[in-house]
Amino acid sequence: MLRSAVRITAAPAKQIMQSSSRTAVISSVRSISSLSRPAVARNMRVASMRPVVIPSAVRGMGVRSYADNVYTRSKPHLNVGTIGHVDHGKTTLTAAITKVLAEAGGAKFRDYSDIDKAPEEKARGITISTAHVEYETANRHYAHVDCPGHADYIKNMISGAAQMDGAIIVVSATDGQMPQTREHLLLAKQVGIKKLVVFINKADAIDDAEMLELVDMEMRELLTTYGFDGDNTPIVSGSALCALEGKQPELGLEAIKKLMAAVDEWIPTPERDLDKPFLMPVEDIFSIAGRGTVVTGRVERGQITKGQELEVIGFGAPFKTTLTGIEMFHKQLEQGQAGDNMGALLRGVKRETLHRGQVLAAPGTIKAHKKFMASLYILTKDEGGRHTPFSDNYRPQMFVRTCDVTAILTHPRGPNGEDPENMMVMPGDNITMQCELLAEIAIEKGMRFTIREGGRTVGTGLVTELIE
Amino acid sequence: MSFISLSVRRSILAPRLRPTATLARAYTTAKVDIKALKKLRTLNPVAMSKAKEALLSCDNDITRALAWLEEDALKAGAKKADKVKDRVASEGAVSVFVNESLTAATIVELGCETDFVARNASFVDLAAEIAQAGMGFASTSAEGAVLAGIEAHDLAAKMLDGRTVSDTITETIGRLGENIVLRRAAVVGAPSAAESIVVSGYVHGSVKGSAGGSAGKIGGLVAVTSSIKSDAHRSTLSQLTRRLAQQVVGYGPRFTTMEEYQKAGEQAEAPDAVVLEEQQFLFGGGSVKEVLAKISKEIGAPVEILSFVRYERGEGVEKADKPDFAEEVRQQLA
Repeated sequence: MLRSAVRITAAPAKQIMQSSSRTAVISSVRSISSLSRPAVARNMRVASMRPVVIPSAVRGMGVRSYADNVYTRSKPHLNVGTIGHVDHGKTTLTAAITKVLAEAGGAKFRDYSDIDKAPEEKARGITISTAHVEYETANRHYAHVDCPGHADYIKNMISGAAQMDGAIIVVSATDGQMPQTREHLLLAKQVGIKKLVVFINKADAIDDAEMLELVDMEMRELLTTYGFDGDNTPIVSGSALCALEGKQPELGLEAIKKLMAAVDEWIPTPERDLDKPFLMPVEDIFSIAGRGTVVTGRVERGQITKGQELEVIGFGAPFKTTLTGIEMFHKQLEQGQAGDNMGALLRGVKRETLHRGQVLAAPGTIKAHKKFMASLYILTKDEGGRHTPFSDNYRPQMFVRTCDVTAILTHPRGPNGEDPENMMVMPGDNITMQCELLAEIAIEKGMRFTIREGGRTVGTGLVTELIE
Repeated sequence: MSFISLSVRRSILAPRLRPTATLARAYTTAKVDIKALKKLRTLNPVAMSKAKEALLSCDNDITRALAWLEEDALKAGAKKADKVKDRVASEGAVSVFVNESLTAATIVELGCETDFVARNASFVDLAAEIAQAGMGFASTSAEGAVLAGIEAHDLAAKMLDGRTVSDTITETIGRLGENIVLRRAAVVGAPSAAESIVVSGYVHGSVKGSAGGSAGKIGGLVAVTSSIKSDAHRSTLSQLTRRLAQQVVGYGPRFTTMEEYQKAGEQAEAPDAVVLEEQQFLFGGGSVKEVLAKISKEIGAPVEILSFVRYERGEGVEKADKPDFAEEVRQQLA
């Protein structure tokens, strides 16, 4: 029984390895996977009851191969984006960074359309309009996206299609901050960016150092106003054009180097999945005569060793158990880690107490919740979503990990204080709503999910706040 | 470079009031008072180089520099507007204005290049002010109260706070640095026809400005007509009309009645998708037609939808076939 169970997951596992050997040729592709293969894809597959296979959702870590060849990526990865006024030189700056780093031996182009054209990606129905550029510094590998609009970016952020771990705000020295710089910072804030770096571009057009200082000072004040660390945020001035054309190295080349050193240092590397506390969604449950109950699933994050204590969360009171065995590819292993499809033998747990949709997690690291706030993106008709609006008390199915449960979506209040009864949500909207589930499941801030209705995906969401 | 030659250059350049780099360089030794510059920027958030130019032209006197900027705003805006006039303005905002007696309303669409600007308070307020200026085009008689388009250039010539709408847009282009286009406008109702008309408007996804205006991505207006006998009736109808405006925005009908639908010839979509009266009412109670019948009975007089309009920002604007970001970067490197 266990064998057949594991065989189900073994085929996908092969895909993982294939994908890893494919990407190993181009070492940087892997890192992009986290950017291009959103959690949504995972949920969709879950929704269609297919085995959970997410080769590329292995964020920030290598996949161990069957033969235990340890793949180690040489550098940590970071997603970074440029935000700024249309004329302030975002593209030129990105080109300049690429050029400067390429000369140092670490940049290349890769745009989204080249990397990943997996059919399931297309079937997701969400248009992804993110093209990005990759480069690396001595310390880190970067995927750089542009951020041309607020709504588009929010949508990509919610669905997981694009994400920024940090941002470079570009401001021209001749203009200084503009009225819409506020909107740029609000976006950064809204998408959860805590640290950003400012590049004052076109410094070659200004030869009054005091004016540059004023642009700097104004930016610091504005950053502070919007809740960023205005005093300590690195602000680098220079000229992207000079760097690109190889002129005035102190404003060109040197400024770009200084900028990237600031990005390297100021914007923290996101925690790798492998370093997070262990979590595995329950996909299937089997009773093995003489051995006990085995749960299969794909480890979402962290690592675990045989003999460790685990907590089962979701659908009822949580309870603890011990992991007495790990099986993968018909072999007994001592340890399982993020990305693995494994069978977990649990001590003293009756099959009836386990359900698909629960999670096995390191004790105390995640709790079950029923009510939370979420940012939602509602798919348009063209994206395969609803054709019509919905009003308060909408009840779709929520899909997260291996779990689906009915959710009730309500407006705690309108964004402008409207009566919730009069609120309407339209396809194409980005909106914050309260979600209440009919059953408690393991939920945490930052978790992505999809909402479906009548067999089609109508929206994607991101948990922003836990209520109860 | 001697002091004399510089001051000579300055005296030549200064009257031409040209901003940008060349001028900034020419002023190297002419000292701008940085404190004054900072203050000036908080009072009028023009470009740094423009604020500097104003102060240098006015011996660092903030009051005079403000007046100078005021004077220069249109010229600077026009210059910027000329530079950006060919850029596609497919973002923007729709704003509606409804008069206090709910007898007339306007709707406008103001386009810009990015939704960052579309969400900016000054842009939102501008859209709302232009919508209000559109009231000048409302009919004076109940007969003329049906929906009427307003020519953008007529509206652009209207006065707004002592300046034309057109000049105000130009100045805003100067400040925000994006192409801004007054795309379309319409008016419905007649302010003097309070006896028989109730209008309302709704804007979806609206953002507030700082001067009280609001604007969003989709807007709609609806006018209903009935013989209104009491304030209670008027209030019933005003709630109905507001909800109908929301219906129009949410469901995007193209016809009011079945009759119009049939007249229009073969249609790809079913009546309950595109005919307002046949659609299911967003707030329950059956179809819109059924809800109208119920309310007609309630107030003892037939209630009819006179007209409706729906604007979605960027609708019909052809987006430039721009290369994606990575491609743009690649081109710059080539």
